[in-house]
Formats: sequence, structure tokens, C-alpha cells
Amino acid sequence: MADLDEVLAGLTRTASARLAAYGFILTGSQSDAEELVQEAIVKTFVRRPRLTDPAAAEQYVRLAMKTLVIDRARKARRWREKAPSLAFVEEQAEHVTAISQRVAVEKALASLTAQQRIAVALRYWDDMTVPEVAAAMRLNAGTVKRYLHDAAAVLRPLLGEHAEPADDDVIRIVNGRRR
Amino acid sequence: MSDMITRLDDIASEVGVDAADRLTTPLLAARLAGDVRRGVRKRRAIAAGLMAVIVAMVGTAAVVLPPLLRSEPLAPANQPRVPVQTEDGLIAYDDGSMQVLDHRGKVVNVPPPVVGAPVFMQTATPDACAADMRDLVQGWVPQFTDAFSLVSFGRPLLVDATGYHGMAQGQRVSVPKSAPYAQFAFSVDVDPAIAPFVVMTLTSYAIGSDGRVAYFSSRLESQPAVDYTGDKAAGTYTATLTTRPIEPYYECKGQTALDLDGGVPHYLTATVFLNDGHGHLSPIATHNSWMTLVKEDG
Repeated sequence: MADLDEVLAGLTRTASARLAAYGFILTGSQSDAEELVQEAIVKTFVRRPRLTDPAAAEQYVRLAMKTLVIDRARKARRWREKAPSLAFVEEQAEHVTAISQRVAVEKALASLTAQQRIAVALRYWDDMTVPEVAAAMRLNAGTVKRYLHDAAAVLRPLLGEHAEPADDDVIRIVNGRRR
Repeated sequence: MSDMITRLDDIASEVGVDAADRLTTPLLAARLAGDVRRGVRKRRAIAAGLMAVIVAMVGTAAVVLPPLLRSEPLAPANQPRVPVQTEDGLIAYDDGSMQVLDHRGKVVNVPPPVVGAPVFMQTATPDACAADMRDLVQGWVPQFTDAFSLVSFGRPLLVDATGYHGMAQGQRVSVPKSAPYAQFAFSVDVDPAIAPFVVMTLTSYAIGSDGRVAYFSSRLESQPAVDYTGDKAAGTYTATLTTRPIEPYYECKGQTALDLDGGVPHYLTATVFLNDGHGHLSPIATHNSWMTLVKEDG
């Protein structure tokens, strides 16, 4: 515990950018990503107060971030199932009037469901196979594939190698996902 | 797809660099360290609490469970006593105890006789001659707690040609030398309801000049005379039982002679029993009294 400040300072100095990027993929929001990184760090070091290796700590924090997000998504899904009459309203995708690609991507990521973002993060950032993602999220592989497909459909117009998507296209695609 | 991911990664990295500026501030690191320390303390406190609960449960189980799990042999149940004879208001049980109904309708429990309790039989000569009068307790000696709800007054009687005479404890009685030797009897007041069931033993000791028993007499009184007196309504209803005179006297060989002129101490021991008439007897109480008999001229 005596070296905790030093270990934490070292971890945030060397890995906070990677962790925040990973959190951004998981949450679709920079502020949520920062909150997630901090919560995961606290959770990790409370359970492992003698953790001193920064590389191992980063892996544990990434694991904690993933667990936290999956748990939240699962709880939110259960809540929607248990209390349908409360008319859970997902954040509606606004018209993408992006002044930059980053803002547009943030908007697009935010428009994804939590499960879709998690599936993308696990599949492409953690290099997990679809069955592994399904096991981690306690879902069927087919469901994971559908999440990935829907997420790609939202993101491809913004990030694909072809032309930049027009605002109208984005609106159409986002609305189409909700159809 | 790879282009999409690559570009998304670029944007995420850009976001990460921006976020890192805020995540690496000393203030935030200190706050994270504080949160971690609080979390560790809380976690340890919870663990200690759980351990204490577990220890308490184990300790409690160690104390409580063994007696519960131990298969102790069952203590034999007290065998209920069984009535063996019922005679009006008197019930005799197989364990030697009795129950008797007094004239007020109250049940009096008579426990089984204890070891050494008086028995309904004449006193044997060796026992009578070896008796030490210093061992006798003057007055009543009850055999159980409720004995005095069945018997009350006991009195020694002097019997002469003129009849029965009640005597006080320790009374000195003069009789003419010419008169036959005086005899003794005993009377007792008992609850009227038990009068038909009362029998008595009577033993009289004549003490020699050296203080030892010189003569003795013993008799069983299975049919004492009954005299009912008093009034039920007034609560004075009583049955007075009187024995016949006790005789004859037997000499204790080798003992000293009587001091007829100086006075002969006499001790009278009377034991009252309940008898159902079918061989079941229980002692109620023993009455011990003494008086001095003096032969005088005249």
C-alpha cells in the first residue's frame, strides 16, 4: 500500500491513453470513458492492493472495464425486460451534423446500443472470436453477429474506405437501424 | 471492415490522448489512491466481519451441536405406580405408597416407608434389651410430611383397677406397694376417616438402676378402641383410638434390678400405622413418652 500512489501514477502516465481509447469504444463517450477508467482502476487495486507491475495492472484494468460495462448492459437489459411499462427510452440518434469526423463518430458510437459497442470492442480491440465474445457477454453467437453487423452498418458510412457519408445517408441508416 | 476499424481506432486513440491529460493529473491520482485505500479498508472490514461471524457460528456450533448430535441413552421413564388394593378411602400402591382420603375429602399422600422405618411387629428381645433410651426423641416423630394431617394428640395412659388415666410427659406416678404392678396403654387422636385403618405397635421399657432396660413389653394393637367425638360442622370431629394395656413384661437377663423404692422410669413407644387389611401397612408416626412409677406404702 505504501507504493500505491507511485503505482497509480505510473499506470495513469503510461496507460491512461490506451485505457481511455478502449473505454471510448466501450461507452461511445469520452467522459464516460474517463469515468469508466477511474472506476476500473479503483476496483482493480481494491481487489489487488499489492499489484505493482504496470503492464499487468493495465490488463487487469482493461478486464475490469469490460466487466463493468457488460454488467451494466446486462442490468439495463434486465431492467427493460422487468419494467417495460416504464417506457424505457433509448437516446435517440440526432441528425448527424458533424463538424468533424471525430464528433460524427462519437455521435454514431453513442447511437449504438451498449451491447453493440461491447461486441465491437471485444471483437476488434480484444481480438476475441465471435464465440468468445458471445461467451463473455453470455449471449448466443448469432446475437453477437447481429450486433456486429448492425454496428458496422452504422459506422461504415462514417469510417468506410468509400466516400464520406452524407448527412442524409447517416440519418437514413441510423433511422433504418431502429426500424 | 479493416479500414473502418483502423479509422475508429485512430479516433479512439485521439480521444484517449485527450482523456489522458485529465487522467494523469496529480489531483486525480491522489483521489484514486484515496478511493483505493477506502475500498481496501472496507473490503478488509467486511472480510473481518465475515470471519468473526464464521468464527462465532463455528464456536456456537461446537458448543451447541455436540449435545444435540450425541445420542444419549434415554433415561428410563418413571414407572407409574399401580394401585394394588383399594379399601374405601385408602389406596395401596405397588411401590409401598398409599393415598388416603381424610374426613374433609382431602387426599393425603403416604410415601413408601424408608429404610429403617418402623415395621408392624413386636420388638425382639435383644433389640428391646439393648435399646438406649437416650436415642428416643420425646413426643411425635412423623414418618412423612403430612403425617400430622392424620394424627394429632398422643398420650400415654396408666391402667389400674379403676380404669385408664391419662398422664403427662415425665409424670411421676405413685402406686401402693400392695397394688398389682401398673400397666400402660396409649391413646391417639386421628382423622376419623382413617380410624378404621389404624393399627399400632406398643413397646414399654422399664429401666433399671443402671439406666439400662431391665424389663420390656411389646404388643401389636390391630383393633384399638375407637371413640368418635366432636362435631364435623365445628371442625372438632375426631376419632380417639385407645390400645389395650400392654403386658406382660419380659426380663432382660443379666441386667440390673429395678429400684422400686426410688422409682422406676418407664418409656413408652407407640407407632401408628395405616393398614388396608390386606397386608399393606405404612407407618404414620411414632410417639415416645416417659413417666416414673413409684411404689409407696399405703
